[in-house]
Amino acid sequence: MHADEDLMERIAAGDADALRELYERHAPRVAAIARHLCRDPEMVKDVVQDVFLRVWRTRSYNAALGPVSHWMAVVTRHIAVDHLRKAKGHAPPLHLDVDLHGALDARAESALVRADLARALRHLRPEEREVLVLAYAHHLTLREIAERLGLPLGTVKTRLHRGLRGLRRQLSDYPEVEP
Amino acid sequence: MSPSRRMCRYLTSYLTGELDEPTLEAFERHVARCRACQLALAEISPAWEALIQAEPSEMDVKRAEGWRDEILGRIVGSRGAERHRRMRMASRERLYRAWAYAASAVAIAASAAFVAARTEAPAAYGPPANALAALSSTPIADVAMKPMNPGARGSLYVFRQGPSQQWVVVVEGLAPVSSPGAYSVWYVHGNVHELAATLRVDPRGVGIAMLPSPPREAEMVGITREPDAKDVRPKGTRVLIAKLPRNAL
Repeated sequence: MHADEDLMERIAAGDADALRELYERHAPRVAAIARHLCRDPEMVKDVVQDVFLRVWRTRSYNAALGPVSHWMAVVTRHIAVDHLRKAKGHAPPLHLDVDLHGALDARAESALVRADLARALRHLRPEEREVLVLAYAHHLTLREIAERLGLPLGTVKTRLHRGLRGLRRQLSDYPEVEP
Repeated sequence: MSPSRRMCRYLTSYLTGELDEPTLEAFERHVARCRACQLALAEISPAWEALIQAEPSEMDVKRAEGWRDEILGRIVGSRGAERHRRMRMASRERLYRAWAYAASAVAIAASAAFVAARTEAPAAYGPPANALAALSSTPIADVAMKPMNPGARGSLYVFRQGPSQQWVVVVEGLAPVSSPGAYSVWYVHGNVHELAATLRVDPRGVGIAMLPSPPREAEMVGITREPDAKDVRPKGTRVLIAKLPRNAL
């Protein structure tokens, strides 16, 4: 089996077989990430197509961005959020209360991992957890979070960074969720 | 702050999925040459990835399999012509290594001297730099840029210095722009504009900027007059444009 990075090099050279191999390897996970965000199967399909179109069209992936699977998760989120915003006309989600358990339970295919995440999140400072959950679970932009919480944009970014750093420290106690 | 460093501020938005396509692509290329962003990403992206990652269910697997031929057919079919171009380009891979944005003082002096010699620019560039250029630089390309504004003149120069290439733009006849405005230099491919440099001109309208090596797919280089030098997407007016010299790529 070829490494993902090898496949990306071949795809950059125009190798359609490599794209197919990458699709077979990652499309289910891309679909799962998209489904958590979009729900609508047609939109999920569009997201999957756009993710692999981007893989084929651009050559901006590089090793500094992390493993291919991480990069594809970030790209999937970008594309899914973009589809959601277009569909909703940039309207912010109606449900804006920070509901940590609800947000996690809704994504609970892997109960143990999610339980670890919930535990790790609970160890964060409330203000950092709040920003983190609004960003990842409620898909608010940083600017929307700043407006909602009445904070400067820079403060929101700082809290998100600190929250993620703290989360990583917490997750290191749970080897099953370490990449 | 250099144009490259300005991209660092998009790190958080990159993770949260807020960047539009051109900015996303520009940021991804930026990370390849920015140690600070690499360290920050290594520190925080695993936690973010753990949050957004999802285990595929049986339904996800079946759907992905069912969509495969249709999706891949659309993607590869729509880009079939480009595939052959990419295959040809692959052999040039090594020519496109990321090149550090900041050029050495020697490179600037040498480049400026070459330009001075070619364009009879003001003597500020001086004989010492001329001599240095003659010793250390080999010209590869000299492309006149197409003016979009009357009176604007510009050239793109490519030099070889040892194992590396230096890309330089020199302009004349541009109206000075007061801060926070500036002239921005972009590498262009399709509708993607990647900020290459910020260019400021002296009171006589003359300016010079060192550029990083263009991204592999770049086709054009363009200069725009921007109301805010911090912008990483063109919002101002076009001033000069040129096709990138293929013999230098």
